[in-house]
Amino acid sequence: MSQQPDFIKIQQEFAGHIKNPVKTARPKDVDDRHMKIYRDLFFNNVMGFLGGAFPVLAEIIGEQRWTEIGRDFFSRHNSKTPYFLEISREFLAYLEHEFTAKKSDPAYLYELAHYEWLELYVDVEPEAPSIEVDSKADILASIAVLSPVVEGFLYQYPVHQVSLENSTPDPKQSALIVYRKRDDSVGFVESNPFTLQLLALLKQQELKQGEITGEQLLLSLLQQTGLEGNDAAYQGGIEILKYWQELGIIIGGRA
Amino acid sequence: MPNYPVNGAGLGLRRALLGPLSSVNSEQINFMEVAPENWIGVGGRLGKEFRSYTERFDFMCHGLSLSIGSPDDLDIAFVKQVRDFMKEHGIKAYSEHLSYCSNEGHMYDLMPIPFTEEAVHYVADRIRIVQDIIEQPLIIENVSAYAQPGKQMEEIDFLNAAITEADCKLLLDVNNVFVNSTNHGFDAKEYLRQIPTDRISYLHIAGHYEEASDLLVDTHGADVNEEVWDLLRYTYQQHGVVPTLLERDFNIPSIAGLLAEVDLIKAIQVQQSKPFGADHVTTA
Repeated sequence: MSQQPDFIKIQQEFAGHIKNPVKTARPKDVDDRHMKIYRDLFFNNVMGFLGGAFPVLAEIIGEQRWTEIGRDFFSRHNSKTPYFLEISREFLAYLEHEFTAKKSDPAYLYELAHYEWLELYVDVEPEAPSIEVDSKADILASIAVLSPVVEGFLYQYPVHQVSLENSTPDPKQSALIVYRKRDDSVGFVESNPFTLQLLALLKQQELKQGEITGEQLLLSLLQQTGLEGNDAAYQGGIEILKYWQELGIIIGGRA
Repeated sequence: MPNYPVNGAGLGLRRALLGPLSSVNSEQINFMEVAPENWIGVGGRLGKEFRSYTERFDFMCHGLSLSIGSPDDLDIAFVKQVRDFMKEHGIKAYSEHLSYCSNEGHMYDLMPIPFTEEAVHYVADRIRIVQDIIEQPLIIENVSAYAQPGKQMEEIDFLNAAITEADCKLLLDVNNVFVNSTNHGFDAKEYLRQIPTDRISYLHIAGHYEEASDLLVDTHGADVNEEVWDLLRYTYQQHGVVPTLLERDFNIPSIAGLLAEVDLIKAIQVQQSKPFGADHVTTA
């Protein structure tokens, strides 16, 4: 490998010092008063992005711990994305792979961050070009078309109910569906593991442009889960499909 | 007549302004500018609102993450995404900072490139790579700086050498010239005189924050300072009336307040386009 030009080494010092002043000394020809402007601008900027994306988490764990985590993220995480809204995704990756929790951190920390990221994602993710959909179609007899952005996750904590007033919830499996409504606002529904599977099947079919009607899909799910011939489960499934159509998780049907 | 990508007086569009500016027309604000990093890959309600703006106004892309002077590799995929975004929205041109914002990953704010010969060549090579992809000149902006690590030449010489060698255009930020003249002790007017007129694509003007009498910070969070308005007049006198955009990112005032500053740009443009600057325009 060729030797780095001198100016690159200076840049590495300068940037390295902004990221982690303890680990990397500032360039010799810059005094601390001027260097501090950069340290503060950069860190406050990143904290602004994180605070905007994770307001509930920031509030619950308190300013001191939040700043500490933000500092660790900024110092250590190598952010690949040039896009500002995706800094939240970089932060999630950091929490998953680089972060070390303290005993005092809530056990649901990652799940809450994931849920807050999900709300942002559903709000801004680009939609595929729209196809012709009959919003009033009989969903059992037609092929369901999902909301342009819909995601369902099974959390171990009720992260949708966490707030400053309710910051120590007991663990409770929570199947949450977050989706873009017909008016482009973000909606969410508490669901159950069975309906998450139904959603997964619907997404799978949409991905491969399948031609299976709502009813056929439901029957195949019942078969997969050993509930074939269970009328209560069948009726429940129909109710869910109709409810989702009403909410806009299913925006309608196509022939 | 010089061939500028946009005309008149512009305003930087921010997400917070999407609602408030919805009834403003292109007579009031002649062109707008956005950071592509805030809008590429954004759909839903925000994407639709943004589309309604690019349909109504002339737009420039003013990037923040290109990191043209970075030790890290150029992100070619990103540059292609910017190019496609510009095509999709009919955006006129792409400006970026003579700066870098990454080193082993993005840091999301601007750092000063050491003013050296080697850095000139390095940056110019990278600008040319970008220009080959976007198939038009990149417009490079002079940046505010609070330090000059590794400096071996003057800022103005570094800037001129880089844009000449890269054969690119210049976005001249008048406030940044003022900020740097204070922070690093040079004559702002002399700097402005040394700018090659034919490289200029458009101007930026903005407010700054006075950390100390010898240390100004380019926050885009205040009204434009009187001395900076004077420098804008001086720039027009030296280089002709150039399209000029107001940047306001924080402490955003009422729409009336923003439009008043845009109107002042227009008034100064009218005044300075008269051969002898007959009418006096007050800025109070």
